[in-house]
Amino acid sequence: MSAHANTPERALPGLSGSAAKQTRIKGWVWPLQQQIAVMVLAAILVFALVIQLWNYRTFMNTEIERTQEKHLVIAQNVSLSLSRYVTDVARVFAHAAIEVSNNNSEATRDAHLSLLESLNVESMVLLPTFAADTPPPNRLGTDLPLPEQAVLDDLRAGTNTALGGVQISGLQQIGDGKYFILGYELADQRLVIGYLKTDYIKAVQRAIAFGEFGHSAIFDQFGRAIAHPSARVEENMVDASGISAVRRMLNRETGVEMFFSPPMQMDMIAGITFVPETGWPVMVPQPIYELSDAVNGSLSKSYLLAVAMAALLGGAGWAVSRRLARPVRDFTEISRKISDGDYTVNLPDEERSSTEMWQLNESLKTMIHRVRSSDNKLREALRLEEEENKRKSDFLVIAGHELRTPLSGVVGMLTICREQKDDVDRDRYLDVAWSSAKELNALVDHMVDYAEGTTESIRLDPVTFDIDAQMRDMEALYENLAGTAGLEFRRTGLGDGSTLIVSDPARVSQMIAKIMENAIKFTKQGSITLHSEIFQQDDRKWLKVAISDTGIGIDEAQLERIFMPFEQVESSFTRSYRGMGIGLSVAQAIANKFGGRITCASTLHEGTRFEIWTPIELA
Amino acid sequence: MRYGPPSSWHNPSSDAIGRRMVSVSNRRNILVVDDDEINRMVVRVLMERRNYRVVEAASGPEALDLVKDETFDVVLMDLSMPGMDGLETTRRIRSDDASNQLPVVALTAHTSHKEQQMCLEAGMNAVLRKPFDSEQVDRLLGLLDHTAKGPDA
Repeated sequence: MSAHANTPERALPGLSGSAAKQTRIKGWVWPLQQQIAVMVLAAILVFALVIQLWNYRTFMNTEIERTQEKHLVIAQNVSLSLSRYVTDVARVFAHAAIEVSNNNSEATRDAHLSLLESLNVESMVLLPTFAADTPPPNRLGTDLPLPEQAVLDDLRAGTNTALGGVQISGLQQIGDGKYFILGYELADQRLVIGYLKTDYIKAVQRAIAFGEFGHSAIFDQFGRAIAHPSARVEENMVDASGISAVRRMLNRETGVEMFFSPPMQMDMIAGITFVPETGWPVMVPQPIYELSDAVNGSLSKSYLLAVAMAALLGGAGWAVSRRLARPVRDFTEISRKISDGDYTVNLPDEERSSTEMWQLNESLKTMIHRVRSSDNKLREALRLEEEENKRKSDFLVIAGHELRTPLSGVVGMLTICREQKDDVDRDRYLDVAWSSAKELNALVDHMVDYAEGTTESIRLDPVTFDIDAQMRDMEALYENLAGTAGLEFRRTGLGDGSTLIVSDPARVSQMIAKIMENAIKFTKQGSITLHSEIFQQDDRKWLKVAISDTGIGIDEAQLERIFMPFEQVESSFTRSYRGMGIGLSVAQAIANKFGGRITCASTLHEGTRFEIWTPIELA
Repeated sequence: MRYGPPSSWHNPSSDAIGRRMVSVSNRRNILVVDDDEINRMVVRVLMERRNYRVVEAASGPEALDLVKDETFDVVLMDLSMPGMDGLETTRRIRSDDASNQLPVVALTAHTSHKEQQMCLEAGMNAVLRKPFDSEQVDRLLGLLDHTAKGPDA
């Protein structure tokens, strides 16, 4: 690649050098790929988390629905069982109360008592009416103490019709045991009370147990515990009416309730209902965490799924981030190379890139192209500048030396004249000084021409003139000069008639003069020929001026270098001829300005032939 | 205290120069080597006015031939000459036993330090810068006289 070959050792200021500093990042910055990967992963994590939460809620709701079914059904079964039981107890008690009060025989009494006992009603008491003189109560069965008067009053005032006129009190501590007091008011207003034990109710309650802590609990119509898994609660008949679930049941509600259980110290979920005949709350609770475990079991599968999904999506994210970041990385690398002045960059395969990458690629190509061309232009300009500077300083050194030679002639001669004013040869010395001074003058002219030529400030002023007449003038001038040098001079071609052409006569003369001076200088003997003609070539009219000499000729190796300035100067101490060797390069510069050229053919020791080709127009 | 021209000018063994000079002529002999006719002319006129005999050579080889045939008191040598330059000519003069003590003075317009160094390395004894005037020539000849007669004179 040409750009590579042209890369100079010297770096251009502004185009490189600072690149290394620029690529160093201040602070801490993540590579793009990692940023994208992290963003994608974070998005996936959030997504998975949301899914999990959603899953959890869904599973939980499902479980609660199931609980509603399971726990509530159990509670309702318990309720149904107790309902049948208290109905039986009430019927038997009412029947027994009537029979025993009407027929006071031993047999009747024992039969009914034993029937009642089978239903856990321990004993019966026949209480007289309110009168102060009423005889003491007639105790049947065991002699348990009477309940408090308030309880008895409540029983008399009872309005419960659900149990066929049998009233049932709240749970009472009677002696060492806990009893419900059944009450039945006879027609003669005597009250028959019975003591109902809680054994059957407890048995029913104890029969329900599931999970780790799933159980049932039964309370009386005032919210006090009848049967409860906690022995302490049961023993103390703890009033649970403060608990939301119990309050709902006391209000005769059926359903599912979540609540905090003080004895269990846990959040519970329960199916709640009540016994219709007595208003006893019946609940079947379970700790919520047991449900969560079930939910979690389901969730763990979903976790697995989520992890798998995250891995999959993470892989995808990594691939995407790579795909996005790789071109950026490539382009970064490319820009770094470019800023280092290396244009041999391989752009990424545009066919596989996205539209955006393709566009970026295209603009990058354009940019590289522009930077490369402007860089090359700058380098070329710099190179030309350096060459020019080198040429100028060379020129100054050589010009200084060349000027000294005639100058030393002038100074030398003047020294002689000054030293001895009556020297008979004084006039001759002054003549030599004069010619040296003229030589000095000619050198300065050359230098000015040369400087003009190298700065390309040669101006052409085309006018119409007679080239024949100009050739005659040239003949007159150079016949004289050649004759002085002991040479023969010939003119051929143009110069006899009158031919009007359009060109710059002064510049044409200047070119001829430079070459003619050269010819005379390098020819010791023989002749110099000036030939000129006008001819057509390549749709143009040309003026060709040929100058041939019989001089020393030019070595073939040197031939192509003669138009370079100072080429006469091989070594500053061994030059054969005077002059700075800029005449030919000035002539060539003028010819180039015309759009023409000067060619040279030579045979060593035999002679040289220069041809000046200048495009002209016929007037 | 001595200054200027190198030791060869007042080397006691150079009494041969004085003897030969006396045997040929009363005037001192100077060889001017320069391809430029005008420069030779300047030197010749200035030296003849100072009663020197001046022999001219237009090139290095010509100078070498003259040095073999004649005895000179000093050679004034131009540096830039076609073919064989002044430095090479001086080296050849120095390589001949008969002339290795001959004083050679460079005549040059090149006056940079590097060029003076090249002159001394080639075996030249002094440098006379062109263009020169009467005073510079007198000074050089005075130095030459003094050293040629030796410290005893």
